[in-house]
Amino acid sequence: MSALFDDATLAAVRITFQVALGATLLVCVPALALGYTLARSRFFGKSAIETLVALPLVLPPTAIGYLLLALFARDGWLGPRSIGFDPGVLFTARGAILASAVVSFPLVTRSARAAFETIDPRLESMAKSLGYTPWRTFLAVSLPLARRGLMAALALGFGRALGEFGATVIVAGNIPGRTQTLALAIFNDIQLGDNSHALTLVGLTTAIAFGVLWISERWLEPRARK
Amino acid sequence: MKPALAVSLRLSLAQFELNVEFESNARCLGLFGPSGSGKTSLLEAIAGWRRDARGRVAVAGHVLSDSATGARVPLHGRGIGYVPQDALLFPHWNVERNLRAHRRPQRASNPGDAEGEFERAVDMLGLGDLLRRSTDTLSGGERQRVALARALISRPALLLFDEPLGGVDVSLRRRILPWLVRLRDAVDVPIVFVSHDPTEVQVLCDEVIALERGQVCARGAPAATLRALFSREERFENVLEGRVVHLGASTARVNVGGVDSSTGVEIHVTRGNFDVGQRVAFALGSDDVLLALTPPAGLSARNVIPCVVESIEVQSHGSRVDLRLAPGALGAPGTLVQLSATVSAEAIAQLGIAPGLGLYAVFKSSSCQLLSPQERE
Repeated sequence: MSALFDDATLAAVRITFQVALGATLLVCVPALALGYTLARSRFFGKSAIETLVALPLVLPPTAIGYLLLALFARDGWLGPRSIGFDPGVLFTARGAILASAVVSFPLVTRSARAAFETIDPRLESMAKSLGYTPWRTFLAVSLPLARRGLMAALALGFGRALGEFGATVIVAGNIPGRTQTLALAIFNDIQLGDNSHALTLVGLTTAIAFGVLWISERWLEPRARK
Repeated sequence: MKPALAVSLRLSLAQFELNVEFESNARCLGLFGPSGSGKTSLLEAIAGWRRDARGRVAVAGHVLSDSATGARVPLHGRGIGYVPQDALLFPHWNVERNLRAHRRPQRASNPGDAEGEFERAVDMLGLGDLLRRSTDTLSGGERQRVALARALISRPALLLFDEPLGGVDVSLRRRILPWLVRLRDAVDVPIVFVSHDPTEVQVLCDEVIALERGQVCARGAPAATLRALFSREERFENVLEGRVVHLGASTARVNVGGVDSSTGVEIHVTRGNFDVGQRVAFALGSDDVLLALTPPAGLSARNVIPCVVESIEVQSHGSRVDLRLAPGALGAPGTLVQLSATVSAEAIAQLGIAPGLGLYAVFKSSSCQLLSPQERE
């Protein structure tokens, strides 16, 4: 490995996976909860929330990065002055995770919603009539029945976080060995004119992205009949 | 005394407004009507699945929902065993896991008897060989039986059956019907049974409410209510019930409508899987019944039953003559058992059939189709 890839490249791969995994874990519970709520409930202001959730899909990631930067700056609403301690978000791996999470949140939420909408809501009513509380119904019926679509949703979010650049570079910077992911490293190489190394990283990124997409597509395929 | 079931519900449907109000103490209440008359919506509203339904539902005086007071017991606290038309088995669980899918608190009177309840339902509905099967390998009838057992095992306070025989063909329906009769006799909670099959309703229910476009259009004892509703139908399936009094080589005699052999009418039916003394139900199509003014001689048909004409319903295709079985000689006091025959308008004119006339209903023993008990597999 090290003959083919230098230590900096391996560090970028490691950070990329750490960030994408961290972002997926961070997004997992809130995105599934919101996806389920949007799939099942009708309430006042639902369309406003739907639009708000979709917003990061359309906003330039740099704008999202700037908003996060402002939010966590010394005097920001979630900055050290306001909350009394330093959350350690800016220019750290934690910041890269947060930026990737915010960007992939709408994708996971929307896919999770679609996955929950494929379940017959009468199956959930049946579970409740059999004495399952709403929470137990979710755990025993909704979650397992939607699991394939939900895995695909998380894989999609993971994939989106793998390639995150714009928000990450603003919130977390581009610090080799600390916050430099593959996407940032490619940008770095191009800036430095190291085209051959950039090409190696592009090839690596493509292989990883292919693998993630392939797995998520397989999850989405209808289950083969026994 | 509080009625076993009190329902007063309004619900806007696509084509009309469902507006139904009734109280019933029936052990098995039939909801009868053509498809699209609102039966399923009503059942779902009683179960609490239709949040847009307005009104009140109470089971044994216990209010489940009342939009006037805002009271609403959550679904998981209602104790309702609902068997929908499509069974709604959980596709990610096998049969046994489906049957054990309930989370109701133990009954105080017999705690720890959940296993007994499970064994009883599996045995009653003949599911022993299916327990390990995946639900998508089940036939329509098997799915329905699993759904019935699942509802029973959950120990509900009210059972709702929505056309449990709807998805299966007629011959299979007749084979599952006896399971339902056994089930009805085994449970001690009221049952609401939705069906558009008058035969099933007559066999199972002790009261029927007929729906049309979301409104109650008739209510009463099943045989009489359905007979009246079926004035426009060509064929009506009579359902007769009685006690087996004699077993012959290929036929059996069943005493219908009598407290003992001297008061009822004896009808010959094809011999089935039953013994002397057992109660059986059988169906007899109205177009399988011939009418004769005098008892015919030298006839292969085993049944020549004296009757009195009650009423005549003239229709375009054939007229229906409603009869009351009269034991013994003509003119003797009639039983409460009714029988309908479909004959042509010409025959009515030629024979001079009119209300009050005594005549003979003639039909073959093989025209009597056994509905219960269960046939030998």
